[in-house]
Amino acid sequence: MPNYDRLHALDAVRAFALLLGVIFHAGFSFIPGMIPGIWAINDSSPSAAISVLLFTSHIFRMSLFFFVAGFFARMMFQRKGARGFWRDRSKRILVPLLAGWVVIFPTLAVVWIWGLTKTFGGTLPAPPADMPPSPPGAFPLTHLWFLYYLLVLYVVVLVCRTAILALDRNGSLRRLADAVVRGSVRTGAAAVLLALPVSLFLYLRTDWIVWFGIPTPDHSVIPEWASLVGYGTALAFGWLVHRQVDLLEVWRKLWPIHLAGALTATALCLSIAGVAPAFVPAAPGPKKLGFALCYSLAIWCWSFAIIGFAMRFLSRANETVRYVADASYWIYLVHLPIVAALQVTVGHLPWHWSIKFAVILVASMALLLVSYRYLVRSTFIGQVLNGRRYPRSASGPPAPADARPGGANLEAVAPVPSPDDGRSSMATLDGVHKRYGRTVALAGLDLDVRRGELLAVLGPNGAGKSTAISLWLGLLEPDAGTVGLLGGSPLAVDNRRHVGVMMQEVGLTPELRVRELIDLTASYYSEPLPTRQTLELTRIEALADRPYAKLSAGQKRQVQFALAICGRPSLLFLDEPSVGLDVEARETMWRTIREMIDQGCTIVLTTHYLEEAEALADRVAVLASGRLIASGTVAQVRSLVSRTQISCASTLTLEEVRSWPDVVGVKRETKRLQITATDAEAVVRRLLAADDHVRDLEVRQANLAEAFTELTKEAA
Amino acid sequence: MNATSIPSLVQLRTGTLMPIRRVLLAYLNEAKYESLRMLRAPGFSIPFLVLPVPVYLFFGVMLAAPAIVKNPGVANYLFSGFSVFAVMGPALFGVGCALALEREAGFLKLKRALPTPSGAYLLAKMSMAMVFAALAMVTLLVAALLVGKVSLSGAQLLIMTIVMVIGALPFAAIGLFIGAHVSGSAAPALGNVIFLPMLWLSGLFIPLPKFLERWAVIWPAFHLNQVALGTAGVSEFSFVAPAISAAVLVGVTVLFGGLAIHRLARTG
Repeated sequence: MPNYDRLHALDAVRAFALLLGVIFHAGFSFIPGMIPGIWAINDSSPSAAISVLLFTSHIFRMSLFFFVAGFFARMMFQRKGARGFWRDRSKRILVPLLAGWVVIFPTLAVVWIWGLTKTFGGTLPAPPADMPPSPPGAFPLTHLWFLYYLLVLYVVVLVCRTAILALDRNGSLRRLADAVVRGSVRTGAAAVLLALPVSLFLYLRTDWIVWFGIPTPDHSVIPEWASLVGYGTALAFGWLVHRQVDLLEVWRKLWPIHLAGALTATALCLSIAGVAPAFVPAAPGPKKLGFALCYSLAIWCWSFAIIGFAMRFLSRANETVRYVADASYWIYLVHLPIVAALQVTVGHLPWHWSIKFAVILVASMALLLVSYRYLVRSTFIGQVLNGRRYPRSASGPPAPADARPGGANLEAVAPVPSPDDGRSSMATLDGVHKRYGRTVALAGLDLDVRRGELLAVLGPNGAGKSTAISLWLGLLEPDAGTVGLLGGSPLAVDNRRHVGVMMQEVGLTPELRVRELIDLTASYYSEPLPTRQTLELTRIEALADRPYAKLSAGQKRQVQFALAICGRPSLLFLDEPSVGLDVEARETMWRTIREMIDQGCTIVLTTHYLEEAEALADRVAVLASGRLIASGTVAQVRSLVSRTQISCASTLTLEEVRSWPDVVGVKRETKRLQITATDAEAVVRRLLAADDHVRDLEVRQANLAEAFTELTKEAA
Repeated sequence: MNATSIPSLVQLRTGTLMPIRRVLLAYLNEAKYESLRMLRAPGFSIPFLVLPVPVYLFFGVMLAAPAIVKNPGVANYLFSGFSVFAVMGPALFGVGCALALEREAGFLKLKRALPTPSGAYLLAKMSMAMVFAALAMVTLLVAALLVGKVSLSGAQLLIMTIVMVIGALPFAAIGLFIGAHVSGSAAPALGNVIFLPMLWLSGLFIPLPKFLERWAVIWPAFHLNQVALGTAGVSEFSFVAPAISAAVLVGVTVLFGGLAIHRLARTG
């Protein structure tokens, strides 16, 4: 099982669910068609848009919360045992429930009376004379009902757990449960399976107002079935998923599909329920059943989409997310009176709803965050709510103790290689492996490009030269090993802003003119050359106003070179730059390259041609089959790869010739011997001495490809 | 030309951040050149900029004349419907086909290797769709004012035009989705598989049979039409609250744009 020390993604999800609750309540007064008296006030500018937003968010926010709660509950239970679990839960759930209610309920009552007085034109309506007596257990839990239900559900889950442990002594039931959970999550069937129980209980409710989904059980201490089943399945499922934490990875991949499902199901629900809630219980029938199923499906599609999204994008430790996650519990506990008071304040102002809604949200969040910062984070309240008290610090959110260093603040770790260190590395490959399917492109390559040098990378086709460059440019990621660019990652745009590049086989916009292509590319860099100077330098002024599509292959290469240098790069990658150029154009390119080297630019150049390396390079690295097989000055490498092919008709045996010094390879083709030698003269002398009947002697310089083949064999 | 007159070819200071002004310039340039190149591609610009007007004149003015006599409001509805048509084409095809072809030709490889600001390439495609939408709308407006018998005020026409131009975005997002997933040769086909049914089943031009009418809500084109009619106050043909339709369009944009980005981030 992977080691999930701290699940940052789920922390974020829980915070999201809670903060969504704040938004939900902040928008409540804008729902069109609300019966006066249900909420503290009905805003004078109702909004269908807010209504849709609230409807959507209300589908899943509490179920999502209970899922995460179940997940973390098992985590805590595993870590602390039953006694520790209950001690922690009493402190962090029971105490906030009791203490919170004592403060929140009277405050809410005051705000509500104020709001209702305003709603009914200055006087509170008298309660109807025929008001039915309160049913047993009636109690205004307020929005803190979720704490009460958490405690109830903990009891239920732990009782079930004890029962299962007693019945399932050999673990087969638990294995089965795990297999079902795993299978349903992987196939995406989990959303459907989980939707079944809750939709059944929703359907069975006779007084179900469909618009509000799972009924909010805030008016009685006797649990309601639909809510208990809805949130109970969520909590239990979270508990079960914690048994196989790696299942979270499935949602990381499948979140877009779940999102699509969620949007579809939500749209369907909305089309049935309407934008404004109808306060009549749904009549039994296929429509109600269909809505219940669709709504429950939406609950779980949303939940899995959001969990997957968080796994995908919020898995890393991030100070801001952590801070908000810590603050969210406090914010949710105390937000309601503040939000409602703001709603009452702006409720009858003649403003557009968007402005009022924004004012309520911004003002309440500001108040809540400030109150968290000064009343909670470093006080006993924070100790109770979040289990820890952060030390006070002078400015901003302090770094949590367990956040990995350098996680969030990229600017602070931007690479600044010291300019006076003449030989520091500009780009590195460290034990890099890369394969494409079955083909191994790089097999543990180590390569280091030093500041100010021109490194020529030589090698036959398929040696891995272009792969190495693609890794440095961030186009590929290594299977293993590390790739460094200017002391950082090639994936960071800020690093690539100092890099120029000319690749093989690239397309450029055919309709754009050369001048425009240069102008566009230059604008990606901080301090580029003026376009005119780039044109002059690369001698392509005459091409400036021609569309790229109309250029010859060689002219296109010249333009690509111009694009490579237009950003005044301090590191330049040139992949086979002179292929297809005529002699004059190649000379121009080489001159510019030399000039850039003189000014301190570092260049990596791949080539098939030893002459090109010879003309420009300080250092040559020879790659073959994805490995570095030789590296050194041009002269050293030339002696290494400089081979002579001797061909003759002779009766000498292969074994005999192979045993001679300076012979690196020998084979027989028809009746001729083909000898590869490092010292041609010595071998020819010996050949003539050993065999009087040597005929048709031919001696020629081996080409680079042949030399590479031999080198590769030697290296193997 | 003597190369030594150039101050320096190499900027050795690394680790500095690019000023925001220059980053914005990069985004702007990318958008500018994307629109420019599409205008220069006759196979693209002619059908999408020139064609909507004759189509509108033929179907929306000539053939619809009897219906307009019966109910003058129909002229307004038809203008809105053909505007949606004019806006959809360049957004779907201009973005989708171009992206598919460019992926094949390796454009993205160089863009990704260069320090192109993140998202500039896709934003450029979206803004190109808006530029084309604006141009197509201008031609349609001229036609509508001259012979279209529309009875909308200047303010209403302006609102509709603005809505249409912004309304190109969801279709551009669908285009991105197509272009990110299929080859250059398959993109036009897939584009048409979406474009043609949407054109007719959204009820933009002709009254739909009852059983199809209720399904018009699944097409983004229907919602764009509704946003335009609703915000311009053409209540006669406003069936869905514009805020809801707008929310649907935002959802479409986010969903398809997100899926396209997801795909491109992985495969390039």
